[in-house]
Amino acid sequence: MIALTSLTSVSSLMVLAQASSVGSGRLVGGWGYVGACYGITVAAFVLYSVSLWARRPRAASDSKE
Amino acid sequence: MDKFVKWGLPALTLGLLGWGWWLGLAWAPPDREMGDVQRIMYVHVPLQWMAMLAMFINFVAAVTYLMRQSWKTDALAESAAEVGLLFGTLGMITGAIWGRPTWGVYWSWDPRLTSEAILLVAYTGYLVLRRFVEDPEKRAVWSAVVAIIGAINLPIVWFSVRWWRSLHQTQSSPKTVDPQMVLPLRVAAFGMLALMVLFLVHRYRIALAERRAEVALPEALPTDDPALRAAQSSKVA
Amino acid sequence: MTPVNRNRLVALGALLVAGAGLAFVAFGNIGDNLVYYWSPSELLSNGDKAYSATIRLGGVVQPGSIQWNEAHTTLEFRVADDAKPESKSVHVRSLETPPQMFREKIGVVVEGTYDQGGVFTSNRLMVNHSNEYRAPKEGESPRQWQETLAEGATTAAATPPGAP
Repeated sequence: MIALTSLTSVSSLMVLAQASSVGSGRLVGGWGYVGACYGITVAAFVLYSVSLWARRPRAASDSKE
Repeated sequence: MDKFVKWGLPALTLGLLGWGWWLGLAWAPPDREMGDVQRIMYVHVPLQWMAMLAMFINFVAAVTYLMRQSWKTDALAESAAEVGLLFGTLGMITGAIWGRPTWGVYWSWDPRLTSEAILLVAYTGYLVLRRFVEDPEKRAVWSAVVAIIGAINLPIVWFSVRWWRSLHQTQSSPKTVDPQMVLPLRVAAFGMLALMVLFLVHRYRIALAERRAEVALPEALPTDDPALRAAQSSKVA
Repeated sequence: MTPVNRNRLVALGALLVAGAGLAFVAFGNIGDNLVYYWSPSELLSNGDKAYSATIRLGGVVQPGSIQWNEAHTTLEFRVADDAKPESKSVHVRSLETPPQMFREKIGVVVEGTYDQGGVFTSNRLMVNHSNEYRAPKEGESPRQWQETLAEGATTAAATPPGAP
């Protein structure tokens, strides 16, 4: 369609550009996002465990001490 | 039972979550399209499943409380709501982080995300309501009503991706997920289940101790004698 | 009435309200009024209603329609009802680098405005992933993919690698 009207050199450049980033459909890298997800989750679990420990029933015989 | 909660359950949680996440992060292949970012699935999906399970426990406990009054089911309802809110909030955060590289945005007001946000607000409201009502019995009844009505959010969130057009994909099934990815997801989900139960048990003990202290305040200190406990709860009912 | 019976009545009432609410949401036509995005054919058949307001358009990137200009970061493509070549489609223009998942035939949702010239100007391009998760096929290891992508980037001098 519009590609047919564009210059050959431009379209060949676009093909290369597509191969490198746009249009490849593959996500590359992104370990930072993975690390953030697991890190936040584990940190929140640790904090919640601490809060449970801090709120533990003192008088009960089954307290965690 | 006590020993299991104290040692077995934490060990089971650490073992299953550690194993499942190791499988997910190191052993499982990356996704063809999402690459390594797909590994967020092994934390996001179990979090959301357990959030919904905890909130369902909250619903069952609320109904049970109204049918047959007991501080135990009231304490369970309170604990399950708090644990469910924790898991649901984390599920939403991990989902938003997952959305950035895949969808291109952290957030969009699509039906799934919107209904999930409403769900979290509803359970926050439930916990706030519990804080504001001083009388334990009124608090238990009113919050049980809120819990029952709030529980309609659960099927709405679950089916939102089927009923309406959304950015979020519909539920996956073992047919749409490769077996090497299903295994880590299953193991991580059972690990998350163990953790949810662990949190629930400890939170329940706190809530029950608080209830007993509140109810027994004028007469005596809370008791662990089952006979006295029965007498106390029947007095309340 | 005893408190126990009163509570049971309360439970019944709450369950009825919850059930009615759920039925209303599930079987009512909320979905018709709260549409997250329009399909290309809906957009085209809506005519004047579609112009100038900010709307979302959702569909599939039509194969062979992607025009990406790296230098100006202009992206043009067509969003179609489905991946079939003959299905109805809308021309979309976007001024941002799309997410890496963007490709032909993938689901997208674009937010923006539709003008009389038949061009949808997008302010926000979102890629819609399916519910399928698959390992790379034989001989298609993602590590190799990264390598070929890096090579492609060095060959095209004007193209910095898109990967972070």
